[in-house]
Amino acid sequence: MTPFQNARTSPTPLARLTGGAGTMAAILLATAIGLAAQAPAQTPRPVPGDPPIPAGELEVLKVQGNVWMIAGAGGNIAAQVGEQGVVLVDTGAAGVSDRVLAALRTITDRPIRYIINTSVAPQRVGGNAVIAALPGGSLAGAERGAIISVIAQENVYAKMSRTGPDGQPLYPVAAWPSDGYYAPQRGLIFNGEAIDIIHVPGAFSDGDSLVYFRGSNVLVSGNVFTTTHFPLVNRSEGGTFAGSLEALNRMLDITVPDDLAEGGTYVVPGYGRISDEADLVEYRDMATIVRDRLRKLVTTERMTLAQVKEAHPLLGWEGRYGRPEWTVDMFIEAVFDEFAPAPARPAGRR
Amino acid sequence: MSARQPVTLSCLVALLLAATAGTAAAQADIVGYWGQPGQGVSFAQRGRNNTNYNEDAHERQEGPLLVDYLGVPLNEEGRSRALTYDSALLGVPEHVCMRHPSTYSFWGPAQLRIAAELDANLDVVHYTVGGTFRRADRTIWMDGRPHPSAYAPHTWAGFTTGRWEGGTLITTTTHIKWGWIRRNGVPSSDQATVTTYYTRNGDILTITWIVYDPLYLTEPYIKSADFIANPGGVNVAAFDVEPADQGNNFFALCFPREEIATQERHVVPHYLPGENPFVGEHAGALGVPAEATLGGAETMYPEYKDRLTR
Repeated sequence: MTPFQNARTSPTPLARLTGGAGTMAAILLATAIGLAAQAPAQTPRPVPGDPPIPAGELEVLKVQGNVWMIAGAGGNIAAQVGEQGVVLVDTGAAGVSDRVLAALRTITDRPIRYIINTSVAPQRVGGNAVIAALPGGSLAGAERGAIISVIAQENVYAKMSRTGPDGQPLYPVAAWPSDGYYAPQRGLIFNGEAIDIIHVPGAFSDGDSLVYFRGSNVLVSGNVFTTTHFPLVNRSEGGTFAGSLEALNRMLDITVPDDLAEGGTYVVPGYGRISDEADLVEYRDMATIVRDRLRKLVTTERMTLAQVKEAHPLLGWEGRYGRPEWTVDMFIEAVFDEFAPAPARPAGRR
Repeated sequence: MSARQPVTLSCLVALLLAATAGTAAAQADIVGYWGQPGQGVSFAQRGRNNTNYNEDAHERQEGPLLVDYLGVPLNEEGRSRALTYDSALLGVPEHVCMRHPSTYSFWGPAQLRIAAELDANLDVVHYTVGGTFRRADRTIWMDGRPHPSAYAPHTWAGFTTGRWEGGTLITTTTHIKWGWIRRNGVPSSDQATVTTYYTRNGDILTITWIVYDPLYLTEPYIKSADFIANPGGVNVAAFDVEPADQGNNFFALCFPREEIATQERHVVPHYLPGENPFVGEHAGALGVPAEATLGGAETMYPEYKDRLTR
């Protein structure tokens, strides 16, 4: 048993994904996994690295309504808290779960009932194995109780259940989502509040979800939006820059600012500070301008990757969003192909 | 930055504060109404009398010319960002209602009402400075509280704490949203901080503010504005929302709305590098090289004129 595994009675992997009832869904999933395995290998591209995790206690901030943000756990975590218990959006990086739980205990002693993973990023699912295994979801040390339901877009499950070079699953079974969704959107009501889980395809990855708490008027973005990095695009997990920009605009369709462009809907970003629509607009504007600059350099002027880097298409934001784990060059290398014109076809082969 | 520039800067600030501090040796009373030097004339009435903003009136009302960054210590990132600016951005629904941030707000149209909240000992807990354009009212906390966490939201006004030094109230503002320091697209980042000096000299309140922006400026950016006591009140409502700007002081809130019927959704007007058509326009009118209007720390200092004439 690995340190990530636990003695919790766990349904089979497919049953966990489908909530235990989706035979058809299981078949579809198995097919999808099979097709993915046959896909040709892609050229390795940079992927966003792991931001540093600060030492000490994690910071807990009230966002508004029933929603809190736990900051510093590798990535931000959102918690909706009420009498029914806790909905946790993401579980942070591996290795900080004890600190996450300690932070949660400063807000509530009610049990965790749901975990929603916004993507397969290690900073989103890294704490699943420990937190999802809490008996009864209890923060108070209970030894039995209802199993936490882990909700995620189906592709998160597919990726977490892959095997690594050693033939073992990349993540222990206990960490896998138990309730996958396939439709564009999933909804639930918890603590008297409607919660929308919205799939935004091909953004950071192909399994990203936004989570919108309607009553609290808080939108949780996962890796789709940060106040710290250039758009996080993991091409090897199905992410695209175009999809990221589309997801940012989708977020703007959801957020409503209060009077004079401040407050209103608040956003818990994947990394960085609590934001509102104006912050999101600033980021979306940056992403749009960067897209247009890259389109001109790569598609119109047909520059090579090296020439594009030399042209500094991100100038204006390099100091703001460039980070060691996701540098300006890493971003350009990751998204360059999206703008490259298709190679000319050989003559006579139309 | 040359070795002498910080000295020059410090001297400028010291001279400015000395000139505005007068003989005040204790805390001054800044509470009350403060209008523009042209008494009784509001921004809403400017069509009838344009003398109220006699200090840099053009800049503070109509706004600066496009691609005029002369005297702004922009670095390459700041200049690149500024040159992307297309004023059509102001018609994008998400941008329509944005307020002037604290990196700029006293430089825009403004008539102030300053109030104080007192505790049981009649000590000031905080001042409220309201009346800048679009009302990013500033709360100045005087009770020694710390600034919020780095994870806390940023606002247009930011989070401000203050202290008295002699007759001058000195404040520090952090947690400001991204914004601008001139209304022609010269940006300020959300990492910027502002130090503001409020100095009363008789019926004149001089507000001097210094913007420190590690992302876009190579040196601090310093501005000042004078306000005069106006016990009869000021037309603060004129600086709230757009209908009021036209002189109709009815209640209205500002929410995103379309201003261009045919505009596609989620459009972001901007200029690509090398395509801003206004580069050189202002320079041509002034008879100086285009590079002079692209800013940079050197354009802040008098000797830059000598360089242009050589």
